[in-house]
Amino acid sequence: MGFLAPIFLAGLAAVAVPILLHLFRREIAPPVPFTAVRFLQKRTIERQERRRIQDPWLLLLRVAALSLLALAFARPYVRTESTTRPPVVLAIDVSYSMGAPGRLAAARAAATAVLAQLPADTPVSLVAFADRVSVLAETTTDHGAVRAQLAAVQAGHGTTRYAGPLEAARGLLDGRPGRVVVVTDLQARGWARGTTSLPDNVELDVLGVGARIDNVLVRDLTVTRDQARVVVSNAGQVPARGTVTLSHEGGPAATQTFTLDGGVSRDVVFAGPHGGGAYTAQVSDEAGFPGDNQRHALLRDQAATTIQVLVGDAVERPLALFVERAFAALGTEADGAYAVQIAAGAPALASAALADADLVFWLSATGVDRRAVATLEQWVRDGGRLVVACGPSLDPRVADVVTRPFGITLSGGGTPSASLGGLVAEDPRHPVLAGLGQARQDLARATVSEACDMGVTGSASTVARFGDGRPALAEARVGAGHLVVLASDLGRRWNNLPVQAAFVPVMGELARHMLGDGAGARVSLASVEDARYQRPGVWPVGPRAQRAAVNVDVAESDQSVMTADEFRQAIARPPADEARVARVRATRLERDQGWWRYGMALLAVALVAESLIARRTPAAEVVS
Amino acid sequence: MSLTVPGPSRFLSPEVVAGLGTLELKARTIVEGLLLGLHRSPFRGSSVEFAEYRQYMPGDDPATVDWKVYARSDRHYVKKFEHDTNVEVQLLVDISASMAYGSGPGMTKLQYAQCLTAALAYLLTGQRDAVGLGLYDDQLRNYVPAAVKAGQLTRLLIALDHAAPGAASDTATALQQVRDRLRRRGLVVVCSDLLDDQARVVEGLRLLRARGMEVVVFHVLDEAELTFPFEQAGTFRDVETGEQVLTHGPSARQAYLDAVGAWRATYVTELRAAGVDYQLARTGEPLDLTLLGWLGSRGRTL
Repeated sequence: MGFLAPIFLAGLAAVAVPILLHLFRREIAPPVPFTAVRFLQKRTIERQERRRIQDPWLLLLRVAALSLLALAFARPYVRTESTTRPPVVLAIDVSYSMGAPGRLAAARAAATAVLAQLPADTPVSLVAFADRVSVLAETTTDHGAVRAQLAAVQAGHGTTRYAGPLEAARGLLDGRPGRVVVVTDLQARGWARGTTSLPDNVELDVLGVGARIDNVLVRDLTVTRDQARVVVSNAGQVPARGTVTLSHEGGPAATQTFTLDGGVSRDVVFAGPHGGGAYTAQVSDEAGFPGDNQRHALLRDQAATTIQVLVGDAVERPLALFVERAFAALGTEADGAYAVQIAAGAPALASAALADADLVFWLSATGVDRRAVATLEQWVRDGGRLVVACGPSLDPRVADVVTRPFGITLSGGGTPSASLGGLVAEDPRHPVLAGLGQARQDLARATVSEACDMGVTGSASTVARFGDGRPALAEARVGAGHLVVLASDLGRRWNNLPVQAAFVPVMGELARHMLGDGAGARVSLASVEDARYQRPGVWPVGPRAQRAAVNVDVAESDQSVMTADEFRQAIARPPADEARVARVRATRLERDQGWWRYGMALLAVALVAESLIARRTPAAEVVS
Repeated sequence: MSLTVPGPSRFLSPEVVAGLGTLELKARTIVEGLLLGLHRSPFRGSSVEFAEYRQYMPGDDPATVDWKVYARSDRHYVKKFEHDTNVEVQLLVDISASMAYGSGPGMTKLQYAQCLTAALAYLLTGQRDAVGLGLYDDQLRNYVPAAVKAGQLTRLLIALDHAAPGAASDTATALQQVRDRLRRRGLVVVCSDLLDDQARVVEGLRLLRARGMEVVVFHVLDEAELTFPFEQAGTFRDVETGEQVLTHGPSARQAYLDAVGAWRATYVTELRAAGVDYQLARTGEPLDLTLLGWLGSRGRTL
């Protein structure tokens, strides 16, 4: 016998209350006022009766009611050896690499075989995973239902990520000992985005399915008005021949043939002119992964993505030089044409003036009234994307008017410091910094002489810090709006960041992070939140709901595999938290047994009986 | 414990009287009911010395109507004589703590005594008698000398209305104090539950008689004091002395009733022997019925 909340057993002390009341009830009853007491005879027999319990049934019921209440709140359970078997979590890989001919069927067969070997009363859960995890069957002993779910599993468009299913399994097991069976094609890149842990009381089985296959894929598609360039790769080991087709908005397709040796990529160019709209390139490849046989791209009708740089007055236009040059350099990419506009003065800060801007850099507020800048806050709330660079021309107190509502405070500034150092990544996995690769080193080597004091609170987060630990780059999101704040300037006055080799890539990654790939023309499938568009195609998922091309991650086509042992070694196996395991087990026992319900039912019966008996007992007469 | 008058009655139940407004209204209601029942005044003077005319009131003896005045004025007037105004009546009301006791929804003993006394005062002042009032517990607390003057009834009623329960009663001491204040022979009416030293009370009343006073005692008792209806065991606390007695109602009832019966019988015997009128006043009985009972037993008018 055990109790989930033994503290409530202290309530059993309350049973003393009715006992004392029954013993001393007559002592506390008020005496009856009377006048002719002189004519009454004292009766000594009454004194002996006072120590007796007058209504033993009432007392018993009241004691029982209080005891049952205390016991019910203490959540009792009977410690029994669990007759239920350890649960099993089946995790099946549904990334697009599983779409190779026969591979998913093999995975289904392997999982079904595991299921068939399990005793019928074994609780089983079914999880499908790629870069997202979905629990297809919660823990159940209905193996037939699990088989039905298993039979309906289809390969998707996602990329293999192993951490997700293991974390889901951990949640499903909830501390209990159990078994996780992962059925996958064991792609090595599945651990690329970090690893995870599994308690050592959970048995892990890894079933590898599928062998290396010959695969031809469309690695890239870029469309400009002059030409459409399709990068076709042969990931197999034997030469491949085939055709590439390019279609525009579902119209008639242009076709070219290709011949590729094993492990070789080649550009197939479709000459222009090409009009704006959605393009799809497709290769014929029956033997490889169907998911990577096509690729989408979008050629926008408008000339370029608009980058607007705001300065206080026309004299400060040179402040925008480095940003302008950086995007001019980035704009040479065929699918990433940027148009940089420099606007000065308070009118430039009005929402109407910013209506056509995809991304705004705010570098100066000289001569601009503080009230005028407040419109920027609303612009961000309405879905605008704003980069604020605190500097000698942008007073932190003025910038603070815009950034504070989003959890980023700015103050100070203008005090040279030799100890600031360069920019150090807070989290190297952040999209802006992860895309830089080795160029992050350039940021660390940069010299920053002055910076504003930046505070990051609430939902805002720090992206990078100065060498002395102070926040250097922070971001905040409000709905579709996105705000990035740099605590130093972008005009080479307080730092030499603009002349670092990483400056242009940083601007590019920043724009990619805030707008999407190709200035918003491409969005990775993994970052699409809307379930309707979590598949390749051209969908309205770009900045300001513009159409953008969504494609599979071609990294999934990498057929590098690992062994089951290597898979296991990638997972940390910390000892199970015995106290938590015991607590979870006790909670489950208590929930399954539900003794507290019987206690409450008995309590209700006791209270009804008590009221019936109490009603039958005549009340003492009181004479006023 | 509800006390009601058995059967239909022309008398006013104490519950009804208790619900009336002022003490004067209560007194007038009681007296008018009483006079309607009598059809003749219980008070009749014997002097031949004319004092005044007074308008005829129901209950007045038609023999006293001056028919000559009626012939002249077409109104009924009765002739009042000097002796009618010379009766000096002292009303004594016990306001000890025990008088505040009441077991039913009607009146407490004190309220009953107040109404009874007020009715008498109303009746007597209407006949131009000199009426005074004394309130006492362990001593005389409030004393209004007997007088015949305008506003006397109001003074008496105000004094009665302001009577609040006091301490334990000492009737003998109060009677001594009243005795010292009386100037001439007259009538003394005592309203009390007589829960006191019985021998001293009787002796005090006997001394009043020895002074030539006519003495009437209204022994005001509650129904619970006369019947002891308690069914449970419990502690009974004396409201005057604080004495507590633990007893069981049904088993103690007979002994109690025997003791109370003997106590009352002693009063009746002793007081009659002393020439004192004794009238039991049960708070559950109509007030006018109590007054009528006393008048009937007295067998003569004032």
